Amino acid sequence: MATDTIHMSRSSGIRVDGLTKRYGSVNALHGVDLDIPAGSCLALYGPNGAGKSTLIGILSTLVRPTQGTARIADFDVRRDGTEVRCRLGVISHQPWVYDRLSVRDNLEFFSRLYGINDPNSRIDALLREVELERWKDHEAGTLSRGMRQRLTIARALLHNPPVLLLDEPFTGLDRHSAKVFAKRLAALREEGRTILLVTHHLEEGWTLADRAAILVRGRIAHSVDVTPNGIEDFATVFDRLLEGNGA
Amino acid sequence: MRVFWAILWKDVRQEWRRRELVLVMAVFSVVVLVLFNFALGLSPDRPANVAAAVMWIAFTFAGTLGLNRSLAMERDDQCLRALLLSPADRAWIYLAKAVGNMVFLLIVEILVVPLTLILFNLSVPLMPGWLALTCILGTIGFVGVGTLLAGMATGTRMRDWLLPLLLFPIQVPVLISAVQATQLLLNSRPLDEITLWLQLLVAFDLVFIAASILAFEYIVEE
Repeated sequence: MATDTIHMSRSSGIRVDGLTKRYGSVNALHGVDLDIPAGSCLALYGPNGAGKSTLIGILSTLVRPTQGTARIADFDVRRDGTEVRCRLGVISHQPWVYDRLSVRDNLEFFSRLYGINDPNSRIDALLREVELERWKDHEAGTLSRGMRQRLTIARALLHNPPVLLLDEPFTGLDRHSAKVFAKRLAALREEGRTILLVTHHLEEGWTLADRAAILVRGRIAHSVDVTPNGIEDFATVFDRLLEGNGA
Repeated sequence: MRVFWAILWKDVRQEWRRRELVLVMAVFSVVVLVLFNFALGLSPDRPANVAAAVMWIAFTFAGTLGLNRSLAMERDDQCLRALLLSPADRAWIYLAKAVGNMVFLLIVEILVVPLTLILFNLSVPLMPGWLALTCILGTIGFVGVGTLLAGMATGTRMRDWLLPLLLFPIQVPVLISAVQATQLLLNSRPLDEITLWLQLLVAFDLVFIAASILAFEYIVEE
């Protein structure tokens, strides 16, 4: 069952070949291969320090790989950074919005960066979608954690990206907010976006994904297709790998 | 250009709401001026020369504070990543941040220059326009490379002391040129004595800005 490569048959939304990242003598990623077809979702699990955030950093063109290639919607993250960023939405556990700007001002600012035509109607639609219409004139810093996360979704979707990278988006959310957020992610999944979800929350990831993988010490240590009854076996393997990792 | 104006307008708007950066820089500059004025006495020898040096010391320290805070604000809101994730050309991101920093420092300078003249008992120079130009050119050189180094320092744990450590040695030629030009202007020397220093300032500005535009993309990547 364990494999170094995740392969699916259709064309790639996200494709990673032999990706390595070294920080000095430390290997954060060690020859990772991934193939996430367009319109599918991979849930990636792993202990702290496994290299998950480094992988997200490389895919989002913020971290330079030491070796290997990564492509988003058939664009190389090193050579075609601008094209990649046009097609990419990133949602992290950190909101990445300006606390002192209002909800609407934040979205207006980012829509200018993305050069969105008719930003007002796009912003109105997104505010309705994430249920923040009532809060549009409030400063982002005054919103609750769950509401800020909804604002983050709106920011990430402004340019309607076909590929989403989600870096531990459930962190810090209470149970209710996590449920609402998971529902929102499921809707994004239904819209046919390619999603790489990095998370510690086994169940939320399992519900959303087509395939699940475990990253340990910079390598893909295990990967499976998601099946309704497969979560227990997967959890057992995950625990065993964590113990082996000394976590 | 769209990106440039969006970031610049956002920075100005945030500063208008916080009234934090310019206020701190202005207070710091005034304290430096007053302390030097007391330490050197009301009528130091060659007051124009002393005033020029003290003025640029105030600009440098206040500017360093501002540069640190400007990028730290992006870091505090975790928004530098969001900026870099947009398809915006990173050269425009750098230029917008640099021009924002320049505007804030120039606002402080508008307050500091007349205060320096008052504290050091100096009359208004015969060529105030040239003094303004000197301040602008010196400020461009300072924030040009300072914004780049602040972007580099902000991603490190040593950011509070790394910026001055890197910035001050690099700034020496700009500061020497700016102080020399300011001294000559405050002493009402003829323009042909001053132009050499202004030409040097222009040259340093061009080199610093060009190098910073080229380097910014590599500095902000990990």
